[in-house]
Amino acid sequence: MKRLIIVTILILISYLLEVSVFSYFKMAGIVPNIMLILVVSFAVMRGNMEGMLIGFFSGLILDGFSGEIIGYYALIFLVIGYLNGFFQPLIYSNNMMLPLILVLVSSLVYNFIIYFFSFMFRNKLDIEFYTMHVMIPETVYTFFIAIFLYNFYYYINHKLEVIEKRSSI
Amino acid sequence: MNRKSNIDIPPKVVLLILSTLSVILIVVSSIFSSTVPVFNTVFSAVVVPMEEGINSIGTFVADRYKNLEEISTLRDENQKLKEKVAELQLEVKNIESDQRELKELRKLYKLDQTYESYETVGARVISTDSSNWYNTFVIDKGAEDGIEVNMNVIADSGLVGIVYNVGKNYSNVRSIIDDTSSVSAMFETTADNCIVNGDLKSIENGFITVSHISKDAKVNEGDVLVTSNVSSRFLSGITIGYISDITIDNNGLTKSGKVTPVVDFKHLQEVLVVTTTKDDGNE
Repeated sequence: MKRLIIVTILILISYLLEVSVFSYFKMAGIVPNIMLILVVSFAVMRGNMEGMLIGFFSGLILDGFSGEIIGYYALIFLVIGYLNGFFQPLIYSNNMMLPLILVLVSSLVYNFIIYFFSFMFRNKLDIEFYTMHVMIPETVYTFFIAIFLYNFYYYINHKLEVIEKRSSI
Repeated sequence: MNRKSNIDIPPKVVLLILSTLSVILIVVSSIFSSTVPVFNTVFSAVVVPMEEGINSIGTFVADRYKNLEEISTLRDENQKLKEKVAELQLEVKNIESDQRELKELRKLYKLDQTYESYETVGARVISTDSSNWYNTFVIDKGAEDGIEVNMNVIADSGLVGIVYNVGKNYSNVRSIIDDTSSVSAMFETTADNCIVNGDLKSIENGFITVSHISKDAKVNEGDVLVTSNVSSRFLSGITIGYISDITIDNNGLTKSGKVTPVVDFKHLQEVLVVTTTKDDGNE
């Protein structure tokens, strides 16, 4: 129950960070993908079930509040959360290398999916431009923010696990 | 989420259920193209107040930071400006008399139908789009304030975009520089029609693109583009920007070019929503 509340708050905060706070800290006009960091972090810490659920609801929030097609981001984040969950057994103690690499890869995949469905389908074919000016900058920025956020999420998850263990005994 | 330990549903099944649900949502929402009311309600009650808070803090911090930076440059500028003021005061007198003349002429030609006469509502930008692929934003006025879908949004006396979704106390606006945006426009001087398309690629250099200008149109670089009177969604005569780089297309029938918008989209904080819509005008 506690986990549910905390994670809901984290999703909401990530959304607000992404659309409000980071618009003041744009680098080269680019906003980092805070929501993606949340989904990947929890997927690798908790496995594909939780990654998938957090991904789905995070995406749903992005969809719902963008006022456009609903289900689009939800589906993308759902799959990202699910796939990243498979790496959970490989994560031990506070090893940051693998989670960060997964954020990097996920960000590239995420951006490529959006490019494919929203731009390539409308005959905007200059993939080199979009890679250099949107995908790579966003991924790099997201990567650096992830260094801080992953540690933060790791700490929160650790606290939650301690509480859960205590109450289950 | 700790349900996992109580009931054991295999992740694959959940994945299947949730992705099917997503696909159904995508199909349903693109057919009906209206948002689920649940989202609008949650957004109005929870997210909008928080965003307004963050927004005012953000503006406050940004302003303080700017103040520090600007003090030294301001001193220099102040000196220069004082000199300029004296110069300009002279000019103002001349312009004032011109203005009077213009007013009379407008009355004479009944030209006072420009957008000064449109009714507007002021609004603040409270959040931007979450991805780097689109150029949409949210403003803090909604259905409560009389905002409706397809109302035009202006700022700095130029066209910003159009409202495409309205909640109780917020609205989503698609700006004209968004990659999916297209506006029917015309040249202010010759009234030749054309289409202004938002373009993620060229906005990097401060441009959006314009196409479908007739080959025979007598237009020059630097001409002003305004919204067209044949547009179905945009009110006519709102300034869009200045044209440059006009070239003839491969088909030999049309010309295209670049437009520099008059609005500074990077520092958009306050906008005006024109509450007259195109349909009202026709009635």
